Amino acid sequence: MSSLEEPLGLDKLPSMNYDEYTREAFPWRRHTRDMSHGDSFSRRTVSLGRNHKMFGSACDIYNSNCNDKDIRDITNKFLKGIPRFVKIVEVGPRDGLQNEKNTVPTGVKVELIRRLVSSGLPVVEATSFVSPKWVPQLADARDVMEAVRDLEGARLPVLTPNLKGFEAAIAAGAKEVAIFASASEAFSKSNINCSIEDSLVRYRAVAHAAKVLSIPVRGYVSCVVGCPVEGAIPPSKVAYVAKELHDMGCFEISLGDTIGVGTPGTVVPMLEAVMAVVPVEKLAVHLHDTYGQSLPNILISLQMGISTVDCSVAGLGGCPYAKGASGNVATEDVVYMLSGLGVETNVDLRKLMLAGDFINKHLGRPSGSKTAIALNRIAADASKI
Amino acid sequence: MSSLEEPLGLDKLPSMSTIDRIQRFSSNACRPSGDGMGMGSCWIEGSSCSTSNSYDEDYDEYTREAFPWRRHTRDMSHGDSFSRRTVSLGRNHKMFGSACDIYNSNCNDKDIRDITNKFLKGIPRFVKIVEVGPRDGLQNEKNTVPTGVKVELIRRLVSSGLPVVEATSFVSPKWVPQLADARDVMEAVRDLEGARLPVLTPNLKGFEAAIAAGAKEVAIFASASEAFSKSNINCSIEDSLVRYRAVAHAAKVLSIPVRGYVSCVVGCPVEGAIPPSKVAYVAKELHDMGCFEISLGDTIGVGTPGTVVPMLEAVMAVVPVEKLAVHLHDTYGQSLPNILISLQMGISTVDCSVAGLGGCPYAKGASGNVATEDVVYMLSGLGVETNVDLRKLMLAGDFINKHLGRPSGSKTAIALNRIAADASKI
Repeated sequence: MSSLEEPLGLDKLPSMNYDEYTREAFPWRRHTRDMSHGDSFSRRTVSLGRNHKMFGSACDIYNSNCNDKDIRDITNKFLKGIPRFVKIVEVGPRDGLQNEKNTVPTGVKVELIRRLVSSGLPVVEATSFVSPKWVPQLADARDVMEAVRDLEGARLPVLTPNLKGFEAAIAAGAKEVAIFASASEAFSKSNINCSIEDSLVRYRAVAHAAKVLSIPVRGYVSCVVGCPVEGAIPPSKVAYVAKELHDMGCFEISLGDTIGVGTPGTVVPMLEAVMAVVPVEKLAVHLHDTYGQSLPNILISLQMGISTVDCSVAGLGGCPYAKGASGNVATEDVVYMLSGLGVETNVDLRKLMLAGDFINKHLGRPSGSKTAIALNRIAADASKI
Repeated sequence: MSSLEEPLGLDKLPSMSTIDRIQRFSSNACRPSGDGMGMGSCWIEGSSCSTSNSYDEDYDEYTREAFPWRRHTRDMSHGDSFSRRTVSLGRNHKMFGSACDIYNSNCNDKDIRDITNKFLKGIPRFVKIVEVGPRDGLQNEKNTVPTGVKVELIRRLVSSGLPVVEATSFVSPKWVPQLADARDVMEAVRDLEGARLPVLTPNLKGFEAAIAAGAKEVAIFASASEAFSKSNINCSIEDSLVRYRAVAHAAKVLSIPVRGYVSCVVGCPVEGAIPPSKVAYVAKELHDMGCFEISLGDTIGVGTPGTVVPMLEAVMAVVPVEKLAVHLHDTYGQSLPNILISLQMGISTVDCSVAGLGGCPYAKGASGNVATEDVVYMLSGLGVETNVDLRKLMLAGDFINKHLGRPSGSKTAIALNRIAADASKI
């Protein structure tokens, strides 16, 4: 229902004051300057006080409207389990850029990482120490790590597929690594050329070496809902792999819906199974948006107590199976939702959008984030007034 | 995490059949176990499990919709060290038909299962989808779509099983030239069966024109934002309600059902956040004047579950939930999580638009309506029945996108079309 009779022209908006805070709480709200042209539509000047009062005590306003205790009980059920703080793990520079046809220059990668860190993201996956034969887009891993050596404010983990990659990562200054197994035997064999069991053996070696050096290790599980070859993946399989990674010392296990086919109906049983063997505070979700299902899946994950979410600025990183289809969920869209839920993330949405603008400009593409597109359009329209 | 070491090249994939053969596999966990109605072993208590007993069938229409993305391997002639696993029909059915058993047996922790039930058990078994593409979608197109194309779109949508397809609008062509052919459209769809075809009517005059043109159901629209009401329909909320009472009365005399829309239920670009009490007030007025259903619209798509929930709370206190629908725009990508939480709260009617037709008039270039294909995909995965055939729906989307010369606004459609295109190349 965009416009039931006619689209609302920009010239009909009244003038308002400028409010930094409300801009973030309601960044979509237009702030018009005083307009000189005559308009029969009466202008309502919205005072700063009123805005703050409205948004600052939004909860009070909403609660006071509803005296029906049954309904509020239902509501509480759906929102009260959601964590107060969610850690966002930004995977754009690694998972996003490794999928680009044209390799992004080291300087651009580094600048992207800088901007992401400055937006407040607590974790930014910087690069991957896999063989350049397989992932040429990240062949400059060592140079990237050198350039971000002194960057503070965020953790900068890197992927390490084996002991050799781990050693290279440490030599390059990495302080945190990640390993990845699959819940799908077919995917494991096809993607890393070995069975799940063999990959776990490989990773135990990495985990051991990391422990000796007190390097934290994150474990990824791919294909947690479905695999293009095997179809639906049994939650028990996912739980098994997650537990193995946890037992070998991973501080966190990221559960990845690699081809984005999950819906709350399949994500929930999967989480159930995993949560029975790994504490929820050690779990993260990495849910692709190939079918547009990321945000509802993230929402239900939050309801179940998950408090770490992987995403990618501007939705960088497509789906390798349905080429041209999307992959990672856009960080801006996730932050927008979390913000609306009253969840703290420490992320400044506008600075995050600037990071997104930067990389999109380089890639010569529109953003993969609807939030970024909408806010940029509003800003562009506002600047024309 | 698309590919952790290397992108999986298409040449490494086993060969696939076309999308017509992408079906012989899993349902999701929501499917009931083999005994059909035996919910005891199903972790979903009652309400969200499908009553389908088709678990034993070879071709489960339903699972086709649930997992259309699954690739099916043919025997491959090229040598590949990757061992091929032939997934037998039997194995699949066994695995997925008793998925509930498998999942339940894995999870002995009663606390976790309790949490789960809370989040999925209130979701309705059946959700009515109100398709607004031909009206809300096409009215926003710069270039007016020819009548013939509109009619064909409506036909295809109806044939996909959608129970309600909003056909057109009887507003003045001065305001919405894109729908000036309302009468011709209604004439052409006169004999179309299988779906209800409501039309918008802004006032008594539009109502009379709609009835004369053969409409059997109408919709009226008020706003929860005073500023938006004045700006969009040139009168205050109260005046608009007076106007609509006249329409509702005339409709009652003719036994014509009337649907009421409320716009700006979360936010307005002028007023900012809209108090839920205001939304409840307008919804109640529309309900009291005789609307059989009230559709709550997040007109500029700014809502998140944090704001949608209090709004629904307020409205549900004064209008029964079975009479409510949600019309939540996807401008910030928030439609599906907002729809999910609405379903959790008991809402069972969702408005959406094939291929995501219909942009946002405020942030031009930004999206508006949520894509029906994406909604159907999610509902399917939740085990919710919609009566909609996703593939036929996608064909309707392909048709209009081809005419408009644009890619689809539906990620589900894009993904499935890509998979089908890739399959046809092998």
